[in-house]
Amino acid sequence: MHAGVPVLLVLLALLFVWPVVSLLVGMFRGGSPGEPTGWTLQIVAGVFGDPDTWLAVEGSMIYAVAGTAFGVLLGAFFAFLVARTTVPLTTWVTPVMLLVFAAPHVMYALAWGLLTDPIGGLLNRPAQWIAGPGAAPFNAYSWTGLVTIHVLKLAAFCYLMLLPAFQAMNRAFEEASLISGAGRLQTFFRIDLPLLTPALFGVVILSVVLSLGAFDLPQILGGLAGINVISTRIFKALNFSMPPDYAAASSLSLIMMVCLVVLLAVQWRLFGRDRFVTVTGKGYREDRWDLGRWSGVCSAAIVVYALFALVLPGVQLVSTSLQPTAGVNVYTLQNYRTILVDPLVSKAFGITALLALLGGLFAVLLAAVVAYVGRYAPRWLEIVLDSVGLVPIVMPGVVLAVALLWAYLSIPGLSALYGTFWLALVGIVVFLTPAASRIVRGGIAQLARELEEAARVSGASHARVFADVVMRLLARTLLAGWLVTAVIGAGTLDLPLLLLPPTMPNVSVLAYSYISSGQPSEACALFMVLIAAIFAVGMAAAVALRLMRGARSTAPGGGLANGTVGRSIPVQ
Amino acid sequence: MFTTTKAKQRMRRWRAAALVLVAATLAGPAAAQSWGGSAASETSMMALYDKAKAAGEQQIVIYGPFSVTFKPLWDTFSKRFPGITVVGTPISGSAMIAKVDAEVRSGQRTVDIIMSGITDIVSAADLGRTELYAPPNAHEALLPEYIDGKGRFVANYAGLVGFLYNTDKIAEKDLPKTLKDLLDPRFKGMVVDDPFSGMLTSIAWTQYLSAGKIDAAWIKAIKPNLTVVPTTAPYFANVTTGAISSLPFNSFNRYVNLKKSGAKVGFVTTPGMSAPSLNGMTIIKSPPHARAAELMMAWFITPEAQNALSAQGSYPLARGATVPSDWPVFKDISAAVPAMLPDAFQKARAELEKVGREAFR
Repeated sequence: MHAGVPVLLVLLALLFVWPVVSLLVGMFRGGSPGEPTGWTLQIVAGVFGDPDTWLAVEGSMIYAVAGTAFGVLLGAFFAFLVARTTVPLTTWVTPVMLLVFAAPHVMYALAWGLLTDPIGGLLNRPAQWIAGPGAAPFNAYSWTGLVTIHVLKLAAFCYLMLLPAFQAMNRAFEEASLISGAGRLQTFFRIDLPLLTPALFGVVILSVVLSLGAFDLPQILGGLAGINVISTRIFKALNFSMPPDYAAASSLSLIMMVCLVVLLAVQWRLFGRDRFVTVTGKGYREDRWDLGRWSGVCSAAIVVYALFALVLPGVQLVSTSLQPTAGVNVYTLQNYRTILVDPLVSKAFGITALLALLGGLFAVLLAAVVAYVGRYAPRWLEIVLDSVGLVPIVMPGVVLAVALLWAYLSIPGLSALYGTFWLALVGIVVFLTPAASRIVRGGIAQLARELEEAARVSGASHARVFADVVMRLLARTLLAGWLVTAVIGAGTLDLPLLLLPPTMPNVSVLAYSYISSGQPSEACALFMVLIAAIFAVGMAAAVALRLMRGARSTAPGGGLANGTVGRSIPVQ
Repeated sequence: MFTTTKAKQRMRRWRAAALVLVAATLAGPAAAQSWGGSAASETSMMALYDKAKAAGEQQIVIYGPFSVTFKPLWDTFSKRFPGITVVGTPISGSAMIAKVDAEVRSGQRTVDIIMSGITDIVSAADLGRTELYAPPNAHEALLPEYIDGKGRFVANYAGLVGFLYNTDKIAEKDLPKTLKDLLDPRFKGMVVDDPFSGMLTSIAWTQYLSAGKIDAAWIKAIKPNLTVVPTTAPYFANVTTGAISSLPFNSFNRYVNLKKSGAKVGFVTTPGMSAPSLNGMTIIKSPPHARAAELMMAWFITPEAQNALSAQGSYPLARGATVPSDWPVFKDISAAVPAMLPDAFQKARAELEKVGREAFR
């Protein structure tokens, strides 16, 4: 075992395991984490003996299973269209998904609540013109509405997670299938889909656990419909008692942990090592399918998704950002003026950018190192490493924030960082690593070991192989991971709220300030500026990448297009 | 209706206190009243200001639900005392206590003042997170009831919890006149936060119960008319559009701000339909800007600050401070449902748990 592995294990234990373990131990102790109290089983027994808990579990399961099933299907469908077909309009899918994904859940819920408002909601108005004032076929405050809106949002997450895996597919396998007489559909289901299972299952795991922990949509849209889920029970445990009932919140989080463990066990049992390699050194190709007459239908699907997931809620949010208060149909730029003169706003944008970009970068790099070490470690260690990176996801944001806060406060050195940007950055890295690890793991699972072995035989060290072969072959995956985690980081509220000082807020914290002060229109204005900034940065990045690709295509021997990994290590 | 002897005694005590307050309020601002209330008060504040400047204190950090809403007040403060800015973070309840705790335990303190409901403040004080402090002008500005005997806080502004509704959906003639009217099936669908959460509905019901306005039978009877949500904060837009007709136990402050924005909303002002709530300030133990924090505590109860509170939808508690003439009269509201200080409130809250939880199940 490499000498660096124990150091890595200690670091992971300190950052990931300890906060969560200390909180889980807290299930059997009353009071706040870190406080000296006695042991008790009463709280856990009380939580699991309460019929309301099981009603909430049932609600969460419906929400998670339905959301994940449709969300993954929709995300995979669009990722397939973009990565593997010549369907028109696919160039617009990634920007659309990025914007849908970047829209904070609370804003999305607010927008959909107003869009489907039975009195003057944009979606219900046409029905009212036809059928009279009482008609309101669209209702966000229902099971159907809640799950549909969740699917629209989750599909963007699944798409961004799955796109690199679809892009890394090797067309040669499909060709072999087609030459053997299989049809396209048969090839997709018998070749493409099985090869993608590690990535798909990774996304399923994340989607299920994220859905179980989802709070804003179930709270806002489900609240009025009387829908109870685990996360709203956790909210009550933390907010309806003083001091907060951390033990009950941890006990409820245990349900999510059980789900995660079961899903991971299934993953490890079904998907062994090296059975899903698609990126090899031999004739790696990524040609695209022409879907013929189905192209039009697929383009229409893109338009319909963009309309419902982005354009309509976007129009609603822009409209709300121009209203003095949400629902008052008077339009003014006052909200924008108010936020732009607030000296904290420009500071918040700077903090958000730094926290998101650095947090995403470190999370992706850490995930890549962990996945690479796991690849060459004994099986048990690989499982440990893979599981550790996922541990924080079992805690809903606010619970994780408290766990990290208390754990870090007891570490000499780290406690001195409290109230600074740096502790918030550490927290964000921990928070983002589960998502990063799934993206990276899906990518690494598709890499053939022969590429690294060739480099090793040529005398390259582990570090050199990692940097020059793995990182370069994973470049797309890592960039996608960075992008996705940075967007998650930009919209994160719970951790910055607890870990950043009030004089140094990020945009989410500032928007939360506006919302909780009864000024949602100003929060909308702030988020419209944030979305515009993300869009501008995304467009600039896209243009830069295109220019770089253009420059590279004119340079001899460069690029990854044919499975080469650079001029220094020929693998073909 | 459920009434205890203690509750009656409390009612009588608070009626008397409310009468004194309102008599003072009705007297209006003194003709020659200065920004600080008196020369002595202004002198003591300028001395605090000089000390804060000498200590290099340029900022005050306030945690509390209205710490951002009150920004216009902070701007006035900064004009009065140049060089000191105020930063608010609108957190309350357990999130606030967790943050304050973390700051104290890490030694990296940021917050100077908690400005919140009295129960939040007392929770922080009970954990040993606050200083014992009363501003030098406290006795001049406030009734003795609003200055905590143990020195933990001063109550310096108040709010109302009551029936907020959409004026297009409920005509004036159909408005409830008493809490009993809310049991009528025509009010089915009223949206409330959990009555046992510690939020607005809890505050109102605790005081209604203590004042003998409701009992277990009323709690049982109103349940079919209520849609209970974790928090009503996301639904103000729905009241504005009319999708939700009413939030029967919500804050007057929200009503004032919605009305100011042009929303078609109303607030029932009938005495007995609203409950008063007291809010205050306390200084965190060893705050980073101690002198500036003391200055803020003193300034907040001056006529300059108290007379500006109504623009933000809150009632002043200082003697002589005024509110718009069309607002519900605090005296009448308090006479029907007395405001409660922490000890009495905690007891009444326990009573609500005992009487109400089973009835509401």
